Amino acid sequence: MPVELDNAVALSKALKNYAPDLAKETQKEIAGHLRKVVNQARGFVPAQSPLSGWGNQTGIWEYRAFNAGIMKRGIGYSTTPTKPNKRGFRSLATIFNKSAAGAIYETAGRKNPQGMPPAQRVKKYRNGQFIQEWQLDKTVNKSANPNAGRQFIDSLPPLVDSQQSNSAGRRTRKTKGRLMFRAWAQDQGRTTAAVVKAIQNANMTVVKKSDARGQYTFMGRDK
Amino acid sequence: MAGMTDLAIRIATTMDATGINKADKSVKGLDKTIKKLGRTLGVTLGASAMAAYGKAAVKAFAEDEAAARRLSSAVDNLGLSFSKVQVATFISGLEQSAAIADDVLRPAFQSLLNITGSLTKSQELLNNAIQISRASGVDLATVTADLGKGYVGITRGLIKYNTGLTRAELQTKSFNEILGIMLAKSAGAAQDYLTTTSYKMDVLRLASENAKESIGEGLVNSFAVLGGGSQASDAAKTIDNIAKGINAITMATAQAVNGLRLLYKGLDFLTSFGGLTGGDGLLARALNRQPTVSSGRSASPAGTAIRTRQQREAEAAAAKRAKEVAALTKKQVASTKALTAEQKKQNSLKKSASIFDLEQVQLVAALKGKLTAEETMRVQAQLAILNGNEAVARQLTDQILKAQDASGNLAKFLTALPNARNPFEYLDAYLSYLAGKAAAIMTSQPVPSAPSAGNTAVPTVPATNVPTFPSDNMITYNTRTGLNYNPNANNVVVELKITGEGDVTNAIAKGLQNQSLSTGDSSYINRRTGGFAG
Repeated sequence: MPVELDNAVALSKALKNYAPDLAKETQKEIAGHLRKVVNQARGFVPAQSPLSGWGNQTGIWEYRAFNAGIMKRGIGYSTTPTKPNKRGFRSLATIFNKSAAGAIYETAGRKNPQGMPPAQRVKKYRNGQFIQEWQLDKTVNKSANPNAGRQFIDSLPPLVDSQQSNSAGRRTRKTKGRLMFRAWAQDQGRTTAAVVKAIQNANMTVVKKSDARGQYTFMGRDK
Repeated sequence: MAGMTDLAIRIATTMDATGINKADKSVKGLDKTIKKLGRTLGVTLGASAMAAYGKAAVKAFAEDEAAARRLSSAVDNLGLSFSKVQVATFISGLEQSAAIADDVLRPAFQSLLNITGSLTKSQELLNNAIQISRASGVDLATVTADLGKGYVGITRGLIKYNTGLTRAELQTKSFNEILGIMLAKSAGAAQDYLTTTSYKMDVLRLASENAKESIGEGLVNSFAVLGGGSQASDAAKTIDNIAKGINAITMATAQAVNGLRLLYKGLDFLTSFGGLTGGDGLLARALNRQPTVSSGRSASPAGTAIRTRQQREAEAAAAKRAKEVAALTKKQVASTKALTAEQKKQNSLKKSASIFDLEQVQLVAALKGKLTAEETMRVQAQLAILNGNEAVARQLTDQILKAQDASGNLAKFLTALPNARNPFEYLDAYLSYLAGKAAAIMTSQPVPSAPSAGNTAVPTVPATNVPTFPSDNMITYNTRTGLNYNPNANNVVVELKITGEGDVTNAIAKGLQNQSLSTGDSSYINRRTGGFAG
């Protein structure tokens, strides 16, 4: 779960107004902490495709094929606050994995540990009559090999849960992965603490510079 | 870019409620707008509803006014113009007490007034009609029409009120008698109805209708003036215009009011000759005279004398008419009864005549056939009896008897037969004898002699040529007990003697045993043990 900070937007504005350099320094400090995690995550990307066929850039897999370079470049970080989501929350620091192959490698087997079920023959109504055809939706394995999904997952390293058992919040499958989440699990919250500390330091600096005691207090708290 | 993907770790987040506040503000603004729209629509719809209600109110008032005018005309035509107030008071009072709308009462009263010609009789009949209507459930208009017809002798419609009278009785009885029966059967119905919820609902409905009429009257008066006329149609037209354009009504009303004000001022100026005349005119002020105010009363004291005279004349005419109707009805009933009796008599005579003729025809036809002399004589005697010719009948009867008995003794015997005697006559004498004997014993007087058996002499049957029946001794005659019948008088006793009694007994026993052994179902004999099983 992310750490929620109060009035971080006000801090950002205050930093720009009273300490523009401090803002840059703070961002750099945060980025330094995030880069460590990112580099570690990139290190988990294998050099070769775990299944030889995944590396073939053909057909619909042309842009999803295993490519270690793309996968490594896809893992990154950002210290720019995001746009508010539908509930009004903005992320001040983010680590992401944005490549297709990297996402596949990261999350394969999270929902279906044994692979997706094979496609079935289903009855569909076409042109005024009922006909039998193969299931074509995204919930089934459309490969001719009914065990393709399971074999693919078996060839990958196991999923690692980044959510610690004693941490707050719900434990969901969405915190499990093989690259970024694995690195985040191994980080064990050190980066989070460093980021929050950097923001608090910036806060204290702004308060000192603005000499406005009590007017700007940016207290980080873990929710 | 990180915000575009779900596959991300968000390390530090903060709440930025700017967008949410903005959205909230927008939603609130939308809510206000919708409320405003709702109010606007509500006002519009309310105005439309008011316009519709106003239209209905004007219509109700117009109908009420028309009914009142019709009744007023009817009263005028009957020469009771000075009783209009009384009629209006009666209708109003009845409306309040019976909770029946004046729209219903007026036509009913009008029809009764036209038929009877009497104010009091119409009022009485209307009250009776309300009672009968409450009891029977038939609507007041129908009951009134039936009573009106019944008043002039057409009682056919009264059969539906289940009076228990037959159609013939309805035709023969007078209207007052039938009405009395109907009122007796429906007594208390009107009073009972006043305690029901239906009556309370009627009262509410009536109040609503009256309010509508009052509102309609006000609307007609006001909108008719605003519409430039004085009729209800002008008011309806105005209200239609209002309903068509709510926005234009304010301006139209204002203009109409202004025009009316100007018109009134102009008329006032003209009628007062430039302000000279009138209560507050220059002349009045100059002469210092008090303005005369009309009391709204007629020269005579409320026209009481004329009104009472009109009523007296109308009542007299109605009574005369009622008498004429009653006399006519009585005459009609009497003639109907006479006709019925005459028809009955004719029918009876016809039937008798037909029977008599039939018998005569049969006898005459028999005489024309091949008959023996004796049969001819019998038929002729019967014919004489039918015709009432006693001498010929007696003569023929003697001849028949003589023919049966050539000696003529039978005829003599029958002629000389005494009257039939009381078979218990001797008991009186015997009981008297017993009483005398008991009294003699008690008083030591000599015992009276036993009574004689009376005239027990039995006339001897003369010898005739009538064949005698063989005496079988089954019928005997006793002078005291009369005829006696003994069916066993001629029974013959046959005595059977069986010789060799032992053989016969054995044969019977043997036969019975064989019969028993041969019927396995009814009795079973175990031959080995000799036992019987049923």
